[in-house]
Amino acid sequence: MTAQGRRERTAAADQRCVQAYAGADLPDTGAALVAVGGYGRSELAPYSDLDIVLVADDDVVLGSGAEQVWYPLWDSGTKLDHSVRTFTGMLEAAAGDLRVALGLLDMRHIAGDPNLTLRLRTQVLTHWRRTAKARLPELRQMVESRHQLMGELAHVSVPDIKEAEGGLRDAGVLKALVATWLVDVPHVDLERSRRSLLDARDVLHEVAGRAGDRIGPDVWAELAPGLGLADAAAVQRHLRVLGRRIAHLSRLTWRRTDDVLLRPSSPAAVRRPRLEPLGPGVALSAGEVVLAADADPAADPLLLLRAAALAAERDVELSPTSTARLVREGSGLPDPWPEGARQLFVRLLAAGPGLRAVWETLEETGAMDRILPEWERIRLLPHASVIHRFTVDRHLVETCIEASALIRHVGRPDVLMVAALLHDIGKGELTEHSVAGEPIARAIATRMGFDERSVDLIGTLVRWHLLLAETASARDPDDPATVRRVTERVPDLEALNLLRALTESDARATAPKAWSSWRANLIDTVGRQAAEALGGAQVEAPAKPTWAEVAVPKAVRKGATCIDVELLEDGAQVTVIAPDRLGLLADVAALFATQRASVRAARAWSQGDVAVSVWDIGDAHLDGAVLRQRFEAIAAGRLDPAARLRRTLGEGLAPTVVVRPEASSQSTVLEVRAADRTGVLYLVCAALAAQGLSVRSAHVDTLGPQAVDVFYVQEEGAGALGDLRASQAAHAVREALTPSVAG
Amino acid sequence: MKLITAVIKPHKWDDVREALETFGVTGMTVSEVSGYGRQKGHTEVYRGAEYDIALVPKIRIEIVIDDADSEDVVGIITKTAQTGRIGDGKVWVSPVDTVVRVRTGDRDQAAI
Repeated sequence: MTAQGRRERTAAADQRCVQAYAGADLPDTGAALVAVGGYGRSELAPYSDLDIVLVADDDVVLGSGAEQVWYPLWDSGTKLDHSVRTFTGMLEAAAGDLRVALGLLDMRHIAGDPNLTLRLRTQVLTHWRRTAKARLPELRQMVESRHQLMGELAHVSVPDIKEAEGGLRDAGVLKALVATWLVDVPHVDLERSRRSLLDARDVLHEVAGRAGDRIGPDVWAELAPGLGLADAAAVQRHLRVLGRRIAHLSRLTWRRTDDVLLRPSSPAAVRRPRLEPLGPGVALSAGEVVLAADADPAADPLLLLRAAALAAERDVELSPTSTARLVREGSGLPDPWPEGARQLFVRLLAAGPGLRAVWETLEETGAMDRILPEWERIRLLPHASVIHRFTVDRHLVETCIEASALIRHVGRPDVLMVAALLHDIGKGELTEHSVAGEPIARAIATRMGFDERSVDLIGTLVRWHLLLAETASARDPDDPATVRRVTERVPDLEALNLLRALTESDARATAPKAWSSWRANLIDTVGRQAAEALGGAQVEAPAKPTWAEVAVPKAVRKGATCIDVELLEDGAQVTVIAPDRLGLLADVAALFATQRASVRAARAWSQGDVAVSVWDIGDAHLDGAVLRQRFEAIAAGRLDPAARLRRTLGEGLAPTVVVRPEASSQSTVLEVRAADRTGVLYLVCAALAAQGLSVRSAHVDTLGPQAVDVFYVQEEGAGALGDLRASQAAHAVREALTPSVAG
Repeated sequence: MKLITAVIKPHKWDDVREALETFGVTGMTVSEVSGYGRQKGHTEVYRGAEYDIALVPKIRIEIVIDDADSEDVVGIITKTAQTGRIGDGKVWVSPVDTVVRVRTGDRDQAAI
């Protein structure tokens, strides 16, 4: 219906223009009237301007003929955006101004000399193709700054259907990209979404009675009848889905354009696809994470999460084709998830800004149904409050990105990330959303295989995610009841720390102004008082682990080292028993680091003068003989792991090293939180050994992207460290983990 | 005319605004500020970092009003913002020479 309306409006406008042109005193050849932009595409909305250009060959003099074209059009009340140019002038304008160039790509002949239009059109398109590589970076910058200014059609509260990211202007830019012949887009898909948006714009103009492409909060409902939809919510959803689709196509096309621009011009180099392996079954190719040749989606339930996490961590595109194949052929995740799936999912959530594009691909390809079917509840759901920048789903993703910067502040980054993702999952119902969200979040966390304590933490965080913010702004911090209000609901320090991090991430993701130092101060005042009431301003170290005694082989008594490998389904358990000495744990850690074996967890303890360590390794290809040989080389100093490992530490969040108070006075507890990278454990142990400190026991855990290592250390003789020694040790560990110092 | 400036606890802001609106105060300037009074200068350790909590978050309200209403407004703010605990804040009144409404150029009483 509205497509027909656009055709009719265009035809009527054409007729007026043809008449006006016929009435003017203009030569038969060498001059023409052409339509550009939206009018050129025959897509006039009810209140659109007519973009027309009167163009003439350089040697043709138009005289007063030009003005004679415009007067009848002005008199008829037509809104004109007109200009008069020579042939060369037109090409120069296109070469000098990107906006003009884009408008001319849609040039259409209306009246006058058709040959002139044809020549001009051919020249404009040829020039566009020839100069594309040079001009695309400018176009990209133009598009990006518009996106920053206007926000996303899918997510901002008051979107502009034309200028917003995923709006009509982006669809036009995509067509211009295709016109360069450098990249292609799924045309049917793009065209369908674009036409639906055009329909919506026609209705918007009619409802508003004027040109204008912003949809205010009260307009949604008025659009419903014109679009044949039930109500305001249906209109929002319809338009936001379209915006999401176009934004997604746009992002993919730009990534491909970048790839074309960066590609070497030698044809030989182009033909060879390069695959850089990233992990089991996953590789990087042309800036996208794809499935490796040996990938077996049916046999590897973690493949989808692994590909997603690796893409997000590298901030590259997750190939939609590969993702679609994983959805089609992949086996679903078991219920509950295995630990590996949970780790990958947390790494995905904590990847930072790379999460945005990957999450979008997971949604667009239907992969989200496999991972988190509950997501559909809040997908593209608008927020009730206008303070929010984004729809609920996007707000949750943004909260994860904000939270990923705070994981060093908490002992349970996995809990923080999952709670950040789920804190508003209860929205869209009549019940208060934090109340509705708690059981949903608990069910999801249970399915993800979290233990009971973690499920409780996630449930508590979702239920009380507004508690600190509300208490801080609405209660008297000096009233004891205020502190009780917090401590009764959030009963331990770990949960309180997590809640503080979630509160900050939530506010930052809501709107830039929602988090200020003033507000942080307000919230920290309550947080501090609650922490004190809960028994101290610091989280206590986890209780010293107790281990079952292990039978010590006779060879070890004689001074040998015993390394025993037990292969498991998805990794290996390695037990190392050796006479205790300074630096032993560092050597064992170096052994795994030089083998590039990822340590998922480890426990170490002393039994008299024998040290025992049990390592959970995420690599099923370990060979006991090789390990023993390698270990001897390291222990004897023939192999120096330091040189090659230090360089593996990349940029990222700084590590935290904290001395924890401990109940016993036997040893001192150091807690290290750092990025989970090969060699971290070795660097920490080596730094402690260099300080002459012996590790009495250790507990190493990987929680998504963060390794949390707890060391019970003693002076080499015996006994806990003095305050000064403890802070020296913490400093040494911190330095060892900081790239600029270590490199 | 008088300028009334009040520094109050943030959680009392909603109550104070409501009370002032009921009284008929139509406009005011509000800002988020930090400061300290008599109880100052102690630090605490929280989340591993030492915090200087000498600066306490407060709300500052500024109202320009007729001389005749000034005492009432001070009374309303004082009564509403009071908890009886340290840090309830301060209210002070200063004389104002001239007020101009930017849009119209109206002066003094007409501009309030």
